[in-house]
Amino acid sequence: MNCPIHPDSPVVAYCRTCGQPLCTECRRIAAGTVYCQQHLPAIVPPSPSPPPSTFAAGSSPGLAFLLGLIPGVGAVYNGQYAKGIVHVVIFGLLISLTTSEAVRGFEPLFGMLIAIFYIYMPFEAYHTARRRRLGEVVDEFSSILPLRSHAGRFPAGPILLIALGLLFLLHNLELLRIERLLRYWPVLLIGLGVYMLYCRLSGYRKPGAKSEEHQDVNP
Amino acid sequence: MRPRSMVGPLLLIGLGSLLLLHTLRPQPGLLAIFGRYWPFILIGWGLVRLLEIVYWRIRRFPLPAYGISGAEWTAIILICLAGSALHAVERYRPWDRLGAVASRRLELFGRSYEYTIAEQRLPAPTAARLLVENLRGTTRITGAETQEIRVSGRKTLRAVHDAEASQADRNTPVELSRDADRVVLRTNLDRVASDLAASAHIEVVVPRGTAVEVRSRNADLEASSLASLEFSSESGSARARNISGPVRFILGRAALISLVEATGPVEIAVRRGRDLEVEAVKGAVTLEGYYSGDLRLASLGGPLRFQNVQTTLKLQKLPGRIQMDLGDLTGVRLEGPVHFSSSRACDVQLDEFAQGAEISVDSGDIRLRPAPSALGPIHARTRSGDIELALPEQAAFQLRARTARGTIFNHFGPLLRETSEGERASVLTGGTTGHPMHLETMRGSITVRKDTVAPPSRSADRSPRQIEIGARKGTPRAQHHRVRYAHDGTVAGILISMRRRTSLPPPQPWANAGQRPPWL
Amino acid sequence: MSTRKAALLRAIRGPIMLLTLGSLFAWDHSGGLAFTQSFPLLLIVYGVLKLLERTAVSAADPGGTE
Repeated sequence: MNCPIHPDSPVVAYCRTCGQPLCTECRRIAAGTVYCQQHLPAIVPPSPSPPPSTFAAGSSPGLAFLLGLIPGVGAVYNGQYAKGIVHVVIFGLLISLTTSEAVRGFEPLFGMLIAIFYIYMPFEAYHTARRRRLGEVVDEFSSILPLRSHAGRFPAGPILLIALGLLFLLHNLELLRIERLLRYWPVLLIGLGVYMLYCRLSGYRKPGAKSEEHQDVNP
Repeated sequence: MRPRSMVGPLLLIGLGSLLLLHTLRPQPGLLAIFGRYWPFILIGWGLVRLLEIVYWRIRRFPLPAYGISGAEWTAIILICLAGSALHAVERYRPWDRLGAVASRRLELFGRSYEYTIAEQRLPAPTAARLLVENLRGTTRITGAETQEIRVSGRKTLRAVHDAEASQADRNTPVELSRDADRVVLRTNLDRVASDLAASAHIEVVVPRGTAVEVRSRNADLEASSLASLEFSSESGSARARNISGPVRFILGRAALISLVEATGPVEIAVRRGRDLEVEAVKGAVTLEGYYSGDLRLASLGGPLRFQNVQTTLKLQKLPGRIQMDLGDLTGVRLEGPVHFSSSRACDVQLDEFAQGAEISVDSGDIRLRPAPSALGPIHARTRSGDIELALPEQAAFQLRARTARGTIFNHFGPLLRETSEGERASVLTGGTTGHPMHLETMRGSITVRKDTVAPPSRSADRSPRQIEIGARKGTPRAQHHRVRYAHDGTVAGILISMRRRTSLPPPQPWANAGQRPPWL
Repeated sequence: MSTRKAALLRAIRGPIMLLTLGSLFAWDHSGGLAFTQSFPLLLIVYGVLKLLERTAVSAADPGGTE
């Protein structure tokens, strides 16, 4: 695909604000994020959703790490309030799931998940604080959902979400038992293999297209 | 440049008009309104943002990267948490419980008023039918040696001031009317707004042999000595005893259902129940629905059918008793063929059952000890769990037991033959005549032991029994216990594990019945 | 054109999720399916929206591999 303004140059990025396709000439970079000429933050600050984090020179990664040991507080320290709440909710859900009857037999798994998530939170806060100190604009939902849409790639994330949603819904409506389904888990391996095969095959067909995709926009 | 969103101003306008409304007419209570209607804030919010974005797009304004920013999601999550909490408080009002005392109420809005319902009498027709409509509160119906129907009780409601309360009281008269052989009793609580939380606690005395039907929305029922009883309600509890005819309960949520002494047939359909107790019923008993607490069934003279999507239990007669909760089924003296199947984990222990059994659980231990006098075909299947079968020494049976991964313990000696199948599976077969016994587990041990015939008194000692350990919070549950038998069939010891689903708990020798346990 | 469509789809994702959330809670409170049972619908809606966005982006990008 080529740039609408410079029909000869290929598109290398998209504007973070309006999604406009951009070539190297049209691309403007502000604070590590790609914008088009029209939406450079210095000219037009996006009004209803201002990036909550300012260029706080006083954000200390070490302090962020320490505060991150308290669920949610590390993200709040980084000015990411929604993420903080999401962290607290996830942490609480994990704990209440572990103690509920629903996970009978899987308590060790959930215990490990809690431990991993608890360790994840301070490290996440540490890295976010470091990026903020370097002057990068940190997105409110950074690293909560790292699924970025790459045009042309197989939409694995959305399809996985839909499948999981359907599975849980059928389970809750008592039309299907997840425990029964678990014994068919090797199907997942097969699915993964088919998916990888698909990626390889489509990669062979259009080798040029893939390399363009990887210079994608948002950090 | 894009115009700014209208959600903030709209929320402010909404909040302002609500507060204004509250100062003008304080009756419903702000928190109550919020607790009930807060999801519509979210719906409205989402709708406004959606329309705005579509409008911006049509006007070719630049679109925001995210329709709803992080700060907004924070506010939304907080609204969800607060709204759910308030809704829970609204829904589980303590005054909806059986016998709740007025002073123990959780007072949020207004004051509580109480009125006495003046006593009303009506000569009852012979073979009367009584229909009671009482939406909220408690209804107590007692059959007695009398020729008239007598109604008395009290009514409670909550209001902001006296005039409103007495107006509401006048609007909800208790009416007792007669129409041919049918008597209708109405409390008319639906005539006032539900915010007043009006509830009636009525006591009705009727002649014995009255057929009663009670319709409620959120009420508890106590009934005794009637000819038949039918109760339908969205939520509530029901206690009934001595009903000489059919009994039918159709309930949404039910904290407790108790039925003692009934001729039957009994039909109890519950969407979501907690505890259920049915005892001494002569006719057929049909139970449907989920029970999160304990089911206790005892002395049923007719066939029993219990069914929900996950679990089915059928048997012909129950001279003994059955106790069942989400993870356990314990039964003594059942007359079968017993059929039990569950698609979830469940430990099954049946003692002295007649005419065979067919047990199939997703996982869990199965322990079977059929009555020696009336053996029948036995099929037991679990995906993961131990199976133990105790058979009389002289019994004729054709056994085939298979464990895909586990050990086989054979106490019958050379009568049975153990072979291995594949790498891990073991099969125990033996016997040529008699009833077929099929045991199958994917993972777990299989024990086939001798059940020596013992005198009845010792037999009673040997049957495993419920052991209470201290007081436990919440719904009482059967303790997970396991009885270990010595080779001569006497009790060697009892293992009690506090944790559920542990396949081999650390032994806690709690009691030994006359014998010294082998590990002491 | 389709790039703008993708931008629109991304922008309405939040409001539609919010609408779904509100509707599920309203359904719960009106005595229907409990929220703890119906929450997978949120996942499904999110996945469908992402999928639509992907398709729009792919359609805007004829040089893509799809």
